[in-house]
Amino acid sequence: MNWLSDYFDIRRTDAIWTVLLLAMTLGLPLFISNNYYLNVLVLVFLYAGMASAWNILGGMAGQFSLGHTAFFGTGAYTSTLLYNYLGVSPWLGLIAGGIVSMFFAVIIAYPAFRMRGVFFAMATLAFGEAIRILLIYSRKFVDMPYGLSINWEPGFSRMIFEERSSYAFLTGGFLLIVTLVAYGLSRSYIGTYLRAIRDSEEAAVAAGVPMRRYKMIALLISAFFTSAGGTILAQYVLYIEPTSVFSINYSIDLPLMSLIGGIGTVAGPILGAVIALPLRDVLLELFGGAAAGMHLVIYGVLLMVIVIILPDGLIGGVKSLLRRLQRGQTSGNRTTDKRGRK
Amino acid sequence: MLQIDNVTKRFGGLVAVDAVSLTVNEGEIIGLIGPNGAGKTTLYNVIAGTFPATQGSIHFRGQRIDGKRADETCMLGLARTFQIPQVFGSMTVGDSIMVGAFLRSRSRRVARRRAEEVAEAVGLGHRFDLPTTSLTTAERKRLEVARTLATDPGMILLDEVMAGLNHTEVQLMLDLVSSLRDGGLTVLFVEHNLSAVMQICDRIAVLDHGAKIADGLPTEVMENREVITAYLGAPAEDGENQAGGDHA
Repeated sequence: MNWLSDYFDIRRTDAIWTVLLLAMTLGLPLFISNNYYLNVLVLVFLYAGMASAWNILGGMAGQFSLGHTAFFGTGAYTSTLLYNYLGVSPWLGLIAGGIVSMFFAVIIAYPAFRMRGVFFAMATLAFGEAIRILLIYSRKFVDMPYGLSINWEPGFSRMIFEERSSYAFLTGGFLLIVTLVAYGLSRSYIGTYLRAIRDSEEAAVAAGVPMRRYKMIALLISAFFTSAGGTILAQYVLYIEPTSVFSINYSIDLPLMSLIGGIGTVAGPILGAVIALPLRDVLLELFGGAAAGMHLVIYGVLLMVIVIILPDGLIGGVKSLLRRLQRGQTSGNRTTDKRGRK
Repeated sequence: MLQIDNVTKRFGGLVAVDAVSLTVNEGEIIGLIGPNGAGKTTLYNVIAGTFPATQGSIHFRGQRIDGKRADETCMLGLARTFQIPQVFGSMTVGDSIMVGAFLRSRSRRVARRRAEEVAEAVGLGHRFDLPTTSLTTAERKRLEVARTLATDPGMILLDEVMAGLNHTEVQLMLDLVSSLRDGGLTVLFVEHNLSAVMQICDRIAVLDHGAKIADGLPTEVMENREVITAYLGAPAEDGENQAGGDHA
């Protein structure tokens, strides 16, 4: 265990977070039996895992990608095509999709990593859109139905389950793995390198950081897990089509959740997903029937308020609140000192 | 230690550095001076790997380094600072220094110990756990030096580390650089502050319009007619009284 603390910055509070996360991912599916809530739980876990994956590239390394739908859709399509046409188990399809996504990631990295900030975001956005359009266009040449359905035949090797709670365990496990990877990266030298690249590329390179290699590592890991999320969602919904799995919504939701929770932190994207998804569902329920679209207006306004009040996300907000409380105590002491002297 | 042979750097039609050769021996402190626009920073950037040279070659410890990326030259033991301090805004002082230290060891424990030593050496020991954004300009310059030192270099390139410092701070920085040399480090200075350069350098090279016009002991260089002309313009008795600059 000693080498662990040599290579990873392990803090005391980590134990609390670990217990909370384990209780959430392994405990909640046991206690919730209502199908509606289980559905919310599955989606929260899935989005939290993918937002964490996005955050490795977008938050820790500061490369704000708006094209992650490309990896999500690639994962969903690869595993579904392999399963439907060749009978390959989605577990293997998940790995295959991840590899194809990493291949796409290498292609987009070559031009995109030459750009910074907004330009990087625009390039990745265009890439995500281009993949969907290419896929729709390719149907002119390849005989493939617009949407692909997966037959409902429950079985572990087919990654199709009878019980919704099994999906909650599956997505919970996915979230655990991504979080473990993100945590390991964040607390090792790689995390420090990624933050250095985010803060100042010039200074990082001058300090001996091979910038392109580490940006690439972040991108590949991020692409792989986002793609895995795509496979899992396809196995949950059992139907995919280009406009649904290559939807720009994924490209936007993942960064959004990271921003709400706290971009660049390990817990941030999870918190963001836990808050944003149920919020949207509740609003839909409240306003969906009466005034169509109203829930999105309110959702948007709430997000704006959160981002304005808490520019560093909920995690940043809590941290600065704690700091203010501490400072309040010390300045409080100072005023009593002054009074004492008077 | 560092061998610059006939290095030329052109930006389109502009020759920023014109066939400059310079040798830096191990353990020396060399000052690179010259009026504004003389090509000092360009030459510096070529050595550090920011730009490739148009012509010529640069060898460090016998290995050719021109065309190599800055992180590669850093790995070989040639590290640079920036004129405008580039701090890692989201980090503490300690973490920023550790970025450099991770080059030689991936272990956090080893890197942290190294960072603490370096912070102590540059006088930032008491700031170790503070955010970098809370540092003053002088402290940021020290952090620049600390980050490069943490990479365990054999030679460091300092780009105007004295700029913007007051008299006391300059003196402290000079003490720091001398102590580094005593520790066996080779130093190449690009500097505007001539009195600082005079005090500390073993040798001074002067650039003007991209070409090297002098190279020698500080006292020799300061008496060199060409150098005086480059900085102050031609003497009055030569007929033309041009005020070339106000750097001296």
